[in-house]
Amino acid sequence: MIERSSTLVAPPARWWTPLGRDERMWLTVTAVWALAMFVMMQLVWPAIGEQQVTFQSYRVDPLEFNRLTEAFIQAHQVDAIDGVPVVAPPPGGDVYLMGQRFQFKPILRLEQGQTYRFLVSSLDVQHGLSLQPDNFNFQVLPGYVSAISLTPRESGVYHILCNEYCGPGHHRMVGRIDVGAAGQALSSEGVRP
Amino acid sequence: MTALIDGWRTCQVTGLRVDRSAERLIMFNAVTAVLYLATGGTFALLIALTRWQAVHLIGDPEWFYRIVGAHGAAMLIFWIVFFEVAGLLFGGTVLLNARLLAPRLAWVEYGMMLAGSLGVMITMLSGQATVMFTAYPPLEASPWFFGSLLVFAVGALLAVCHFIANVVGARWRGEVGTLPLFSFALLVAAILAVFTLVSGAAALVPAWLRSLGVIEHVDPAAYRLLFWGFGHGAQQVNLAAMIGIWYALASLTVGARPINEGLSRFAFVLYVLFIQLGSMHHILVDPGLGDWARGMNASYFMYAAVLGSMIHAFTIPASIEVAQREKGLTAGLFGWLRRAPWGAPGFAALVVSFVMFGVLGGISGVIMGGIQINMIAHNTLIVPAHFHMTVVAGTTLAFMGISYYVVPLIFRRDLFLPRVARWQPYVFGLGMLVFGAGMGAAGHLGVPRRHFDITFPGLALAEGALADPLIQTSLMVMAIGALIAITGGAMYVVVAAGTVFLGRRSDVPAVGLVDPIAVAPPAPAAPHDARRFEAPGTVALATVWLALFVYLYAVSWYNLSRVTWIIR
Amino acid sequence: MAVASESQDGGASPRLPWQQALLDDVFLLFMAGLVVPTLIYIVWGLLELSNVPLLKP
Repeated sequence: MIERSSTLVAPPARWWTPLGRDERMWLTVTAVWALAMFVMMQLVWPAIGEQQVTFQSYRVDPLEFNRLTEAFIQAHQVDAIDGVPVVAPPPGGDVYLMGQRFQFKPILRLEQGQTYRFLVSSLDVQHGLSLQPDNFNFQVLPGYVSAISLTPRESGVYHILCNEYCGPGHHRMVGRIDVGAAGQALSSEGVRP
Repeated sequence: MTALIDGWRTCQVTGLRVDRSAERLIMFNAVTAVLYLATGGTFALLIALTRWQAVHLIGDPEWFYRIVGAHGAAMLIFWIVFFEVAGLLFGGTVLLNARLLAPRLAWVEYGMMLAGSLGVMITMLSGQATVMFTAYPPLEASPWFFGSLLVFAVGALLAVCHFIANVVGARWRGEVGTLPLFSFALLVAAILAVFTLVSGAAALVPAWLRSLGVIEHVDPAAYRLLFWGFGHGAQQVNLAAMIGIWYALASLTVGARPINEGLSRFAFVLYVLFIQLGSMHHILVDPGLGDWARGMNASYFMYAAVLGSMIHAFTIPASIEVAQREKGLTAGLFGWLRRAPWGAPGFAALVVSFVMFGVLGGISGVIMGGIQINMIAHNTLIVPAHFHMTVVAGTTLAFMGISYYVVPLIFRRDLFLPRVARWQPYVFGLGMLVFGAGMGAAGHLGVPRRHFDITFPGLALAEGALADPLIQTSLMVMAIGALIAITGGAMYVVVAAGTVFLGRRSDVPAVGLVDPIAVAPPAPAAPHDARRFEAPGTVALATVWLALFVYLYAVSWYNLSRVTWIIR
Repeated sequence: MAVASESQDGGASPRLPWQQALLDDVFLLFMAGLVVPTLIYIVWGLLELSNVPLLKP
């Protein structure tokens, strides 16, 4: 005869008993589900998904990253909005994107269907890269570079919101990416302001 | 009449022996906890009415950010930890018929926690530490802030170790055999708390030294790894404590006895081993970590700890069902549920907390803790929506439910306004449901957390950002839910504080429903046909729940695939 | 202390299942709760962070 006890009192001296039918069934089903979720995340999606989080990371001195970003802006700047440089990088190239209190620099003009390697970091404190309206998000750390390959498949205006608290002007920290239709966006390629 | 012998008294309701020195400490910790709950709840009101953009109550962003930080500290740390220490004192002495090992030390612990927590609140509200409770370097904050947080953490660590020493000592001296399941759950919570607090110290000590100018640099990625060992780990402490309380409330209200003692304990052991790995969920989209380090941790070691949760999700309702059936409530699949004591605040709190945690908090946490799906959740309002379903709708409500018993019994006063207590879990739960729906929807539409104004007034660059009109509706729904939930929270504070200060003194205080089985020794289970399910209603409900889980999981992958950018 | 005499008095009662003895070992539980997450979460995580290469543009 199996003895059971309230959770507030000590169980009987010998409380290890075999599982009943209910528990065996539930344990089997949920163990299978747990493994299925793991296989999905670690093996299936990496094989079939188009949105991966496997980007390469690097260390960098924030001042060095600032220098690289400025050089990138110098090379490809086409315009400026509210004092923030607008840059049209060559399709398929590297893109430097730097967070600093309280802006993302530069504003980017990209071409639909082209793949860009984004090198993202921060000059000062931690920031959050939140690309809207698609709503995908990355943490941005000073001293670290996230090298993320991004391909915009649809043209349009995208905003980058900072979604990591970075100081009193955090809610005014916004960047932008304009994606032009294939073959048209970069009519100004190579043109300096 | 109360029997009072040599610093002990015997509780006239439960027959438990109470060490008077522990009793006074339980009182102080519990009252401090409720004061922090009331403080944090007031901040919650201000924040909700600010993020409801049509109201936008707080006009100054500096004050908004200060209050968001103080709200997080008061609720996620101070309310919870003070209450847990009260619970550990109760579970480590009263329930084990054991004495408190070193009462003086326990007062030192309480003093450190109180002083540390006040230091944190003062520095945060006075603008010396407007860095949120996460204080990510290289944000600057006063050394008094980090110092206070460390004093609090060390006090809490001592309290937790004191409890573990109490239990281990009582075991080694042979005073207790196997722990009651509730005490075992508290032990698990305490073990999780040790890892949590050590990891927190490893993050905060360098940050404190940096604020003093002793060292120049704190690696932001390493800080985040260690900080979340603390920040998330602390919520796993809540999880273990909450599940222990669910078991306890099930026993108290309907006389539930776990259908398999070993299985329930095994599920807790899975927490001890693997639940802390979930801290990785905060840093999945950070630079620096490889896929397998992320994946093995994010999945709590191939979802082993989730398996633990799914075991509890079954065994708790099953034990309630079996207890009810043994009382003769055998009609149909759900007769046991229909005839449950819905008017008892302990039972109502148990069910509302269990359902909201299980359906909303737990499932959302597992899904958004996937390394890829996290990309469409990280730092949006989906994150606080998730943890308000776990820590607030789940843990906080469970704590409220058990305190409807513990507060009258420890203070020896009648429960104040029992009719308010009866409705409180439902009001609170309804509010949290509406709140979570609004906040989750807003987060799904991309609204960032910890953000003063998502309409970006006067900012040309932001034109067209977060322009979906559904966003404003969602934020309004969130705020209305917050108002309802805060009403429910205030009802709790009135009942708890009223009991402490105004309740009628009594040696046999009115606490509501206590099933005699709750404090009776183990007894044989009613025989049942081994070829049939013992808890068929629970099998049906659990299957529906699992189907919902699978559905929401699939929907989330679909949502990720709808991102128009290719990300590699 | 009826509980204590029952669990201590190994001679009179039949041997307890090893699973029960294991789950009752609070000290083992405590050590496992510290060692496992320290190795898998903290040590593994810090190792990965320390192996991040320098950016070479």
